Amino acid sequence: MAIIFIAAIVVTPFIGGLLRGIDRKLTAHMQGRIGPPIQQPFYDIIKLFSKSQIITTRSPLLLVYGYLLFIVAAVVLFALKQDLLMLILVLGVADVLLVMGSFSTRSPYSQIGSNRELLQMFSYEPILILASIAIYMETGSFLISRIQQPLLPTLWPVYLALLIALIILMRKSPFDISASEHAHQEIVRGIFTEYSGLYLGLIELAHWYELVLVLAVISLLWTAGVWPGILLALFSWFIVLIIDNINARLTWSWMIRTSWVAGIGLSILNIIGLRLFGG
Amino acid sequence: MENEITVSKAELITEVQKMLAQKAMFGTATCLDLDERFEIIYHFELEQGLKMRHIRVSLAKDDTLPSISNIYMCAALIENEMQEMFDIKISGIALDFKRGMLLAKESPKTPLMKGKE
Amino acid sequence: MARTVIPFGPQHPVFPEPIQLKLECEDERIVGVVPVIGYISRGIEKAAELNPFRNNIFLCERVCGICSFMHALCYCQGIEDMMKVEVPSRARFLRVFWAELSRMHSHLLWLGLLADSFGFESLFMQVWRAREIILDISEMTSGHRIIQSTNVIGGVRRDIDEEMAQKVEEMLAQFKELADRSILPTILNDPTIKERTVGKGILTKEQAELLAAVGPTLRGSGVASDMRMTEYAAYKEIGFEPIVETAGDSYARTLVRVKEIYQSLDIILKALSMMPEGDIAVRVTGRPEGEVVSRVEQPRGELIYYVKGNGTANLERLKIGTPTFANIPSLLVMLPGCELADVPVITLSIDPCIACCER
Repeated sequence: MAIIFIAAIVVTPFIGGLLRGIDRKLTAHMQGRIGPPIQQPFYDIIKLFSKSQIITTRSPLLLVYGYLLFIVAAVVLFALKQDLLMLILVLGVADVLLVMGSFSTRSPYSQIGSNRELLQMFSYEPILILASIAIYMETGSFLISRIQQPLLPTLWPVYLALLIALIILMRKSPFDISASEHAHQEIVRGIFTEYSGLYLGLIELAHWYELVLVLAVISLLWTAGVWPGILLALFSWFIVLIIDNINARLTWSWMIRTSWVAGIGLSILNIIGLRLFGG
Repeated sequence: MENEITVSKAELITEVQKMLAQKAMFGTATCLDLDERFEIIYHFELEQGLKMRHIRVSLAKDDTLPSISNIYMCAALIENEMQEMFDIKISGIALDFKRGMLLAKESPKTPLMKGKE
Repeated sequence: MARTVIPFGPQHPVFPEPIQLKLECEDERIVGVVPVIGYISRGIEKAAELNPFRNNIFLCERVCGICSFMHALCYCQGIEDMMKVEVPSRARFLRVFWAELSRMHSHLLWLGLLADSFGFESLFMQVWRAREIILDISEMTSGHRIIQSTNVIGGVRRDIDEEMAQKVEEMLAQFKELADRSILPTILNDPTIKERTVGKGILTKEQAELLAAVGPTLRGSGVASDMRMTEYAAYKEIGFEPIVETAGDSYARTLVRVKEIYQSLDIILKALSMMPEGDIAVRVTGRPEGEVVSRVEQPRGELIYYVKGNGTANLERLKIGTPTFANIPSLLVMLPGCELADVPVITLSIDPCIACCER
């Protein structure tokens, strides 16, 4: 138990960072560039940690630690194969802390960014909750440890809905509305505008944990052995990269429409289908 | 110049209104500092820009020029520029930057006046 | 709902140059906008009075980096008109060649920035890659990538020989192939681009005329106005039809510019094939005296130079009327009522060039 606990905390950021590195490399290749070396995210975060600190408002700083802590807690919950519903709740709390942090600064960019981050939360949280309900209907439990059979054959609409949630969580086009990755948008870096140095580094670190966690949730959909699940997660991640590269950024109203109609719609249809034909 | 008319300050507004009635598009305006007086040339474009019409107004240095920005709103910017670059008084600009549009507080004042090298 | 004022700029990733828009927002809807300009006003009109008139070419080239050739062209044509100089016809064709080359690279630069403004990174990269080919042609023919600096009063400074013309044609074919494959279909068909641009920042024909919009902003609103119709340089021999779209939204302005890229390509090829043999410049003596207004079509719209000479080596007055300065009133009409997320797209749809605007 203790080993899993420590491994989850220590190994996860390495996987997350590596994925981000490969992400940048692949994106660069899709755009006809060479791109940074794969270990670049690690260099970035080391540099961020060693920067001198410029602090505009003190109150968000504690909330950044809270954000990181809750996400790590969610990762640990997953590693210990605990309750899926609890995990989603903890993830939600983490995001709320981030939003509160940005709301407490006076910059209009981060204010609007946090507004949009809230909208993003309202978009992907229902999908995650519905997905866990669908998994419950198949396995009879919210506990991750109870998942024994491959779920994808019956839960493929939920998988599609989870892909939408994944794009939002990875902050990729067309849903990079609260903080675009390269800061080239109307509200600059949005929710992260007021953070710098160590605290920006911590947020980035939390983001790595979050990425691995969501991919891990997706991999749950196929548990006939560990490898197919991981392959499924990586495949979904790659699909997101492609979608990012063939789309422009869209507005928040469009995002709500897509995620609620397509995301929630698919999940609910799936649940109704399970009730009628399966289970 | 071709297609040029010289009008007095009092006739300016009626002339510009005539241009509007002919659906002329406002091009830009030029201010000249002729030592003892200012000369302002308004450039208009007719027939989708194929033809030009210039209206020249002569103005004593201490006189006030009426703004044409109530007829052509877009003239407000160039009128602001004129009153910043030259020591010219223009009354009733639709959007008055009070001589702070292009020049900053510590910039040279009215730099395009003659003898201000 | 509380109103917030968002300072959009002067340093903002969407703008390549410093300009500030004070956006008054209700939630995410823009209700008012105040432009703040003057961050890079350099007093070029004053400097032009202090230099000998021949040196002013280099000054005019530096009003704006991207449309530098057009500024020099406009200035030279004004002085030539004033001094009654007949420019050799080969020089006129060469001027068209470089002018259209700068239009192409300016529109491509803009298209990349637009793609970046709505977060379409891969289109941005593709467009700028295609632009490299045009910049290579510029470097090969003039020695410079951006500021070609080939204009002199009375003609041009450099010639293009047969071998080089051949190479230019090959490179343009290469460009066309790349643009046909990766740029045009994306702009025409991608649903997300349409979602972000169609119906955004509408400027009606009446508004455009009254607010004196120029260039693609005007043509996107259905007014067939292009200074090239006045047949300066060699446009008379080559022939020219303006490109017009009627929708008046950001997408229409985008289409006008994309089509103009292709049109410029054709004009360049025609100019190369129709170019007569002969001198590329005549010697000009004397001093300019009189008044003249010279106009050319810059990538962003109509450029007006008012030149007044007084018979000395220095000019009495040089007035530069630039397209962005003329398009700002239209921008102020387009913005109110739109969403904050559309501000970058709408602002870029007039192709703002702040260095031009403030001189």
